[in-house]
Amino acid sequence: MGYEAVRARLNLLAVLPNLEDVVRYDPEAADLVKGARITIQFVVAGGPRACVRIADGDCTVSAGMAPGARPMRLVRGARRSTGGAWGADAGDGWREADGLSEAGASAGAGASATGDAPGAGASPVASADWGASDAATSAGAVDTKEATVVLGFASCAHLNKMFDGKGNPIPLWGFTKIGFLAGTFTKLTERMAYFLKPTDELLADPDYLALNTRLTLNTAAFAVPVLLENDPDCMHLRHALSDGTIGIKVLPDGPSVGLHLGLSDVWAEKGEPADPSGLILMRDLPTASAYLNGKLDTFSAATKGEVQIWGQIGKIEAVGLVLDRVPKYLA
Amino acid sequence: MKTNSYDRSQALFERATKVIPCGIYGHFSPAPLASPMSYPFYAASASGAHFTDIDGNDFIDYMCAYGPMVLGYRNKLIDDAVRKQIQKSGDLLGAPTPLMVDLAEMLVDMVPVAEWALFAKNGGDMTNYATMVARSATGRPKIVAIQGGYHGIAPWMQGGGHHGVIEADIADFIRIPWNDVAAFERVLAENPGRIAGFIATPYHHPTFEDSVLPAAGYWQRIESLCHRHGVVLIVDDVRCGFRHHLGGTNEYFGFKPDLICFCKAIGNGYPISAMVGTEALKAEAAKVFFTGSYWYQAAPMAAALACLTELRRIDAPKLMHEYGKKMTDGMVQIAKSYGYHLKVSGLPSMPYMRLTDDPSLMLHQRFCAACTERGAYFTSHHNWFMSVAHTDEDLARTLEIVDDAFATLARTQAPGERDDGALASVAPDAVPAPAADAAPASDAASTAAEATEEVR
Repeated sequence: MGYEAVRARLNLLAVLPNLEDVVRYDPEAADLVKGARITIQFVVAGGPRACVRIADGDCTVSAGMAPGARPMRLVRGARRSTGGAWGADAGDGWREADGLSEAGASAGAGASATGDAPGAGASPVASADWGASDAATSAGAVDTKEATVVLGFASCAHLNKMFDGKGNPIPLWGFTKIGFLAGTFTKLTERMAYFLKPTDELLADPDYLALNTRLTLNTAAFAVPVLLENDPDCMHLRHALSDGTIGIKVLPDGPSVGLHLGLSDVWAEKGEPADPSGLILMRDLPTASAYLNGKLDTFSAATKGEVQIWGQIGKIEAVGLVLDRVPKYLA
Repeated sequence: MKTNSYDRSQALFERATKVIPCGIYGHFSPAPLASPMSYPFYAASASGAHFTDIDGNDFIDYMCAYGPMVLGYRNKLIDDAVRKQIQKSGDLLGAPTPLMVDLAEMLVDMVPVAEWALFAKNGGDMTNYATMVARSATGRPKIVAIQGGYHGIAPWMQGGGHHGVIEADIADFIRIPWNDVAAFERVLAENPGRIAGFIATPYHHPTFEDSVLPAAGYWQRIESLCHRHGVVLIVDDVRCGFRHHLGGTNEYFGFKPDLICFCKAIGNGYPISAMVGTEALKAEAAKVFFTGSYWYQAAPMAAALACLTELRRIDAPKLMHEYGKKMTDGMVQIAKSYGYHLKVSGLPSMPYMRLTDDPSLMLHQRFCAACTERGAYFTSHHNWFMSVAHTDEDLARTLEIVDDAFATLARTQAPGERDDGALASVAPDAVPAPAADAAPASDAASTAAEATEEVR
């Protein structure tokens, strides 16, 4: 799988879930979503999908399609965009989400439906197979009316541009909620970005340090399954990570994550896992921050006890190799 | 029992991290030791089967410098041979010395497979060279190796996913499970005329896992398949060599490879490795360019000549096997007396031990750390090494330490928690309670120690 495709999966499945903890632990973010009730579905043509649900002051992010999200059946050969930037031949016209043409025109040219190759002369929107998705992220029935906003991305590169703050999504459904997207949700994602982009000055604030570390730890943990499945180098490590549970914890009181390693699946969860077969214990928040931000020589830190490793250390070393790849995509 | 402290080691490590990547790199890195704080980082001196660290702590060494020490540190016989060579003639000269021929002749004499020999410095020099000879001899690209098998640090040996390794490095290396003849047959069928060599250690001794001996008939079937398909059979005897059989560990298991790589025990700590091979591959070995700046040093060759002579004189594999058997039997007995279950795998002169009460290895790591803090240097992730320098007194002392470590283990709470409370961790409790039917903590140590009288 190519760079943009892997990065898109990391953005949706490892970075985006941090919204949950931003709402939970940042008072400013909590205020933003007070009273809101909305589901935002992210759909990448031929790529990953995830949905964000905000309700009752809480935010949950999950992979796949939200119940009720409108099906994306704008298949190959869809009507030519009136925006003119997309170029390619028109097809049979829209079958589901009308209004795409205007949205597509504003999404920014150059995004590619294939994820990696820039779409020179191609029609990212018109040629995007919106019905296709990752098998792993296509779960969920499409049978209710709960989803309120569907954001489309013509390609993995298109999605990544949005995460870089350089592109906009294509609203495919739920236009009455555009105001929420442009206002509240944008501010919410800005709060997440604020806590994910530390400076030395910001890290001097204990509250910032705590939340940054929590989010970085979550991102790292949720990146592991994505990379093992999709990164060409990490795929070689998959056989070494086929059983057991690795717990990663910041001493003394967390945060913690668990990595569950199975023959057919690897998945991450927040919190301390029960009965771990391997442990990575970081002495304190500053140590964890340095470790997770790649500022620590982990071998030296392990020797000095700043980062303790226990249990199935062979597997921990393999997890470490995977974590080392995260900055390649999310630096 | 008194436990060690490591203030000087830890202070020196702090200095080291400023000027050396990782502080200590490679297989001597303390990072995989759990917890490193229970281990010495720097040695000050060594003698026999003991080494002393820079804090003055003495250890009975069961890692033997990860294998090279086989006759004992500062063995007079070996050191005299080296001194004599250096004082008489020098070490690295303008041409090889006659010792190189003497050593090759000795290996050809000792190792039934060997019809020629050549020398380098590290085991990895030889395993890499062996794959090149196999490719040259067959004109084929692919090498079959075992999953989890260790052959050194070249990119193909480290495998995919490791830093600095690219796809092209591993594209022609196929890893199959140990003891799986059918897997090798499948690889041969799927790659007709493409397999140059099969490389494996004589038995499987991975890290963090039990060692696994070859299944009955395994090597004979692999040998037969290699012959039938024109594949060069390479034995990586770097770790095992001369600890189980002086003719190569393949003799112990009853098969004949085409190439054998030796290192570690061949020179009792002096830097030398060797490869031996059959006559059929001699001309190909001559074609594959092979050299290194220090590969012709005479002193390590003098050491190897003296070492091999002594190993043969005293039948060293038998002694190491007996010591290892006494020690592991004694340890199993002591563990049982405290309600724990200690599993021994591999051959007795190179055992891997693991407490099966906790599959996560945390309990075993605490046990090894506790023994090391008391003076028996045990790592938890790697097989141990026996030497002929280990004495009956060492064995008795080791078993006393093991007994005290188990007694402490049964009292403590969690991995990472030291007796002095200096290293507090909040790891989930991973220490299984001793079995209800455990025998009372008996004098198993002294019982086992008494058995040491029979060692030699």
